[in-house]
Amino acid sequence: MTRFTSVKMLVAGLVSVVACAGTASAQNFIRGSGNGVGNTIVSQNRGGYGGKNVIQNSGNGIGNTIVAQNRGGYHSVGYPQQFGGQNVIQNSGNGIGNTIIAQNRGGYGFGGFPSGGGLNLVTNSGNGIGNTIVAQNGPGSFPGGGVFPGGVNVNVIANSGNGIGNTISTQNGRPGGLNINVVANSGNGSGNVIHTGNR
Amino acid sequence: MFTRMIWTPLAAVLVLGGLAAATSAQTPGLPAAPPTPQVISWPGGSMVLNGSEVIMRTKSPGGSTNLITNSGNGFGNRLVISGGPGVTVVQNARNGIGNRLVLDPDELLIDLDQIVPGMKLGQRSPPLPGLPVVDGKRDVVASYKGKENKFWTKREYHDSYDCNLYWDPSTKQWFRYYLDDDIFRPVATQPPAPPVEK
Repeated sequence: MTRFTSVKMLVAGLVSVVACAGTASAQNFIRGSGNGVGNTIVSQNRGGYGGKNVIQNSGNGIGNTIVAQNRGGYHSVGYPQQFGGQNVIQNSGNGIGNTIIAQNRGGYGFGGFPSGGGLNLVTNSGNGIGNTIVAQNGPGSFPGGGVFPGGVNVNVIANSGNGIGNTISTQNGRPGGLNINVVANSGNGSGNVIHTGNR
Repeated sequence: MFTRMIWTPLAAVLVLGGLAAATSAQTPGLPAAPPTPQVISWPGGSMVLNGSEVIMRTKSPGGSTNLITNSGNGFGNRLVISGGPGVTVVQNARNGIGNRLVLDPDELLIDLDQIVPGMKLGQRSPPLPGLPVVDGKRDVVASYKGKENKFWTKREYHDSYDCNLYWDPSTKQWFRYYLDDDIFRPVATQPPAPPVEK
């Protein structure tokens, strides 16, 4: 299922953009929304496999919150190398005091396949002052099987979190998986913190 | 942006160069000699530096890798790596004043600036000299000389061409390799982009 959400925020802080889907291979697209002051964007997929959230050009301004979350997710039989959940956030959350959270939770193995991994891709986002970017895969996966029972989990942060006092946190919390964090062209400036962790 | 992964029963091969290439726009420049691969080994794994590629190999299932490039530069920035053991590759990071890199004791740090000074991830071979020129400028149609180009993020066999095609994330085109000319050129009819590139 694919759903597109586009809401132009003319009055700041009064409207939240919420996209939720609960079927297999669900996708949410949010573009050009929630810009301004004090807006909240929540994009969530529950259960199924291959859930994907795409948020572009949104949540820019001051004190906005962007949450992209996939709950559940597993390898389908015909596509054993698919990610269990994907979050793509581009050109969003720039400004002052914005928060971006991209999270893939859950995920379990199917037969001999590893559990569904997760991919978080954040580009050109969270630049400015005092912004927070959190990209997280897990916890909550079931062991699964295969070579990497915890799945393949990847966080990529590029051209983001530059400025002053920004925080970038990437974490893979799936034991037994192939866990990768990539931070490129990010966290440059003054007083920024980049934390990458695998557990 | 951007990932090529090869699964084998005994080794996890991860190509990080494609990730880096996807996160930094590179314009093909003048011809350059093919780089000589360098291998860095440690107990339980190794890394191959081959031009645009950084290939990590681990002998056991799972594992963790952190790649940090062009980041944490400026004043008073902090890079924290935790939750190891794993491998952290750092390149052009924490330059400036008062920047810190904090690692777990069991984390293996590979600082590419110290190992291979001047290395730039994501470099690629230049286009073949003599491409068509339009209005005094080189034609924008990209082609890549040499089979050693390793920046492809996807390789797929296509029945219509009866050969493997290679996905270039920067131009978002499929290329095929021509043995006679030793060159990659984009195919005329482009198959759909790989899912992750859409």
